[in-house]
Order: sequence, then structure tokens, then C-alpha cells
Amino acid sequence: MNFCFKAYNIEFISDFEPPCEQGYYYRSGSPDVLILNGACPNKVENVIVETDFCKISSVELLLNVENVARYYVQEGKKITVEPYPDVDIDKVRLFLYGSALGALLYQRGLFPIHGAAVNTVYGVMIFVGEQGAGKSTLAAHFQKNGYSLLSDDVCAVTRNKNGILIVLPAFAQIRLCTDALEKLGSLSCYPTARFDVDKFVVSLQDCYDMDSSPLSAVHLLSNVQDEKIHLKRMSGFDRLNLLIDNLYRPFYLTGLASMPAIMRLATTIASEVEIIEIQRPRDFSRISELIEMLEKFWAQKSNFNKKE
Amino acid sequence: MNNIDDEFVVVRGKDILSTSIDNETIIMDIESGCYFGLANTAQHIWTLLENPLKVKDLIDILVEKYRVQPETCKLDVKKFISQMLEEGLIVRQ
Repeated sequence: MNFCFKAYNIEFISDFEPPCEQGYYYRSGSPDVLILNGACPNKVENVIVETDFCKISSVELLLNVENVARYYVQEGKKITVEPYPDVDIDKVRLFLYGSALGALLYQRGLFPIHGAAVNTVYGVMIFVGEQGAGKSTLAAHFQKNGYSLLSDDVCAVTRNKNGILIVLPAFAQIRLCTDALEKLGSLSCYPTARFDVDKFVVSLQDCYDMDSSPLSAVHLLSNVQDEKIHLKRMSGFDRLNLLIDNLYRPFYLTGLASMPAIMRLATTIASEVEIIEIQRPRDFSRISELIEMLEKFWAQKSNFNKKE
Repeated sequence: MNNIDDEFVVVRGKDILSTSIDNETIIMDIESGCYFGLANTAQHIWTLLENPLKVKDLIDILVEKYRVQPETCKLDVKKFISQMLEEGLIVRQ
């Protein structure tokens, strides 16, 4: 069965159901990317990096997820998926639309930041932080407050034809662990939430942005001992370091033909975009306070131009 | 470090991307993905090495600008040049 959908401004035709309802579209001509169920090779030509789970050349990547599936990602145009026997197909899809897709984005020269992207009148605000820092939870709270989201996991950044840095819309969903979901006010807030492998997935059809939008700022969520919430502008070397530290699956970048272009993009983002550290106590009950603080901060920052 | 001769001519590496963020210069070897932050004197040396320069002349310029002891300057500069050469950020001509 063929699924036609669009994500990251890429038109896909896939043998595997996408993570959520993206909406079908009429397509003419060939898709940008084909995802097929089929046999994967055992190796890649002109391999540059080789580990137990991954083989990488300048244009191809072969990923082996034990007892789930093998994924062969070619030249940013095709992914072949060979599932292991008797596997739960949802696990195959999880790694397909996560890691394998991440590798594809790199091959296409996009800059994938691991974080959540919230669309505001001042442009897109990306939130990054270590696992458990609360990115998805914060994004879910923004969504509850009427904001639309572009991504809750991989924020692909690129330049559009006018040279503006933009964030591409990902999958219209938020993935939340049980803890976070409970603190958001129980499953009843999200009647369509369903459990998928390891997290609850909430579909965001109505408040999901199908258009790419300019990137304004990247915010690092840091959990600290202090009682107060502080917003600190990051400077110089730390800015570039933050972006590179928060790349999605950075290992897949090794040896890629597109790596120089992607690293150049990193320095551009570091010099053009606001980069802020949010130091806050890890207390979900103060998220509303944080959102208010951020809204005030964005409003008074002179270089955030309000969209008309 | 012992083998940096006064007569060596050095210049920035071809594949080294250089950018300014706030008041720091960030340099990156785009082939390897390694990147470094340079501040103050290191930044100034990097600016001077945009064109080929003899180590001896580099030292003279810095001694003049920073009004430091030539011998100390020579040691520090040679150590720095040695590190930069090792990382492939500058090359010998």
C-alpha cells in the first residue's frame, strides 16, 4: 500500500504509514523521496565510517537496528527498509521516521536540530536541551496556549530562495512520556492520544503549521538549582557549540559529501539567529510563568520583527 | 615546537572557514568538522595570516603592537604556530 504525504517540504511515497495523519495530496510526476519495503545490501560502496550498527559513505548510509529492521538511505532520495522477521511494525516505523529520516535530511543538506519548534508572531522559536529537559512538554503547553508547532523532535533548518533561514514543518504530532502527559492534565485533554512503542502520541492537525517559517531564536532549556527563572543570551563560541551539540544524530554527518555545506550553515545560524539559555528549576507547575516571561522577552527584543 | 624556524612562511589553510560571532573569531575545518574559538592575540594572529607571513615577521609585528619582551613573544608565538600547524588550520608555504 502506498502512502503519499509531505514533511520537511519533501514529497514522499512510502510503503510504511507515516507517524501521523499528514493529509494526502494529489501528486503528479515523481515524488522527492521513495520509501520501499525491500532487501538491503550488506555494505556500502566506498565506505568511510563503519561500526556495528552503521555504515556510511559520502552519499549513502546503512543502518542496522537489531531485531527491528535494516535501513538503506541513498543520496537523499530513497530509503529501503528490510524488517527483521516477526517484528512489531510500529518499531520499524519509529526508526524509519526517526533515525533513517534523519540520515536522509543530512544527505539533502538540511540542518536537523533535535528539539521542538514553536511558531510565534516573532518567527519560529526552537527549544533544545538534554533528554528529559522538558522540550516536548513545553511545546505541548505552547500548543495549549494557542500556538502552532512545526516539530516536536527534528527541526530541519535551511535557507529559502531569498536567503532567509527557515524551519521546515515536520510531522503534526507531539510525543510525550506518561509523566509529561499526566502533568499536562491527563489523557482526557487529548482524546486522540494513542500509545506508540514508548510514548503517547498526540496528533496536532488543527494547530500544526504546514508552511515553513523564518527561524528567530534557539533556546536552551537548562535545569538548575535556583528558584528563579533566568534568560541569558549566549555569546560567541558557545552559540556555535550549542547548535552542534544539539544536532539530531550527529554521527550520521561523518564523511558526508554535504558535511561542509552543513557546517557552513551552522556558523551562519550561530551568527544570525538569537541564542538564549533558559535557566529554570525543573518544576512543571511554573511552565505558565516561563511562557509569560518568554512572551515578554520576545516582545521587547528589538531584532524580533513582528509578522504583520 | 622546537622545529618552528624563524624563516618558515605560514598562511591560513585553504579549507578553513572563518566567521565572527560577537567579538570572537570562530574557525572551522569544514572537511573534518573541527572548530575552534579564537580571542584576543590568537584572533589577531589569525587576521595577520590571511596572507603568507614569515614567522620572524609575525613575531616582530606582535612585539611592536603589544610591547612585550621579544624572547617571551617568540616562545609563545612558536608554540601557537606549532599547534595551529598540527591541527591543519595553517600551512607552511
